Amino acid sequence: MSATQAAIVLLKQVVNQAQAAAEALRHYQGACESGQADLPSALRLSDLRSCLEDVEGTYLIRLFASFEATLRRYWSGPLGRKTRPQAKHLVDRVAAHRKMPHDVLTAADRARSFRNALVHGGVAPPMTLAEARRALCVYLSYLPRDW
Amino acid sequence: MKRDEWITAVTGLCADVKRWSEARGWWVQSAELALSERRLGDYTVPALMIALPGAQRLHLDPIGADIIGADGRVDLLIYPSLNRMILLRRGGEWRLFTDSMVEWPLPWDEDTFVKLVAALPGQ
Repeated sequence: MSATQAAIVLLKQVVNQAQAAAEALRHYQGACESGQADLPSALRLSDLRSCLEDVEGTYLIRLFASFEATLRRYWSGPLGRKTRPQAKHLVDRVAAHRKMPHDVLTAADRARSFRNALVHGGVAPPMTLAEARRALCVYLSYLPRDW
Repeated sequence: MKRDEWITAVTGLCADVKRWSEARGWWVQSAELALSERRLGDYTVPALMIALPGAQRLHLDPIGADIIGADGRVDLLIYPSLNRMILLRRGGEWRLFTDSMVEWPLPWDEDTFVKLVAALPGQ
């Protein structure tokens, strides 16, 4: 498997893990509500509900972290750069180097903005995990096959 | 680059590659590719699939005209190895780059195309 394919597979795995976590939480929540399972004493059902509500956001942060790690490897490896740019500059500069379509960069940058809003607060147009994965995978597909 | 200019450029590129390929007995299939770009809207451009000797295929895939640092991009992708070369439109000319974005030292013409097909590992 090429470096780029491996990076894309990693993003797909993050989304699969999010789906697994959400399903497990739903199942556990249902079991607790019907009395078939007990919650640890420190937890309430509301904790499970809020956890379930936050699954997409939590895994979107992981998704972007995996994407950013790939770009940083590409930046310091094949591109031979010694700097450590902020994520926005990294995404912009790799896109410029790879001559990507503007729309591809814009979609990846939307995922970055939403991730920033989740981590630091602020306002950004929301994105589902599936939308973010699609945008980041399309971006990664413009990297060389092997590097 | 305006949409009509871009479509005209890709149409000319496909016509050249089709002619060069058929002159060597390579089977060429033409297709229409639907593209959607925010600044240019929805449109179709020609694309090609060329059957090369040794069960390899070369796809000429237009990527778009709204490209960072260029007036348009077309990828030459060889199957099944997925090795890729990139044609960028700049100043009204096609310029060839490797997948690592190193500019190919030869002009884009029939001779370069044929050498490229011979050099790109397909498997």
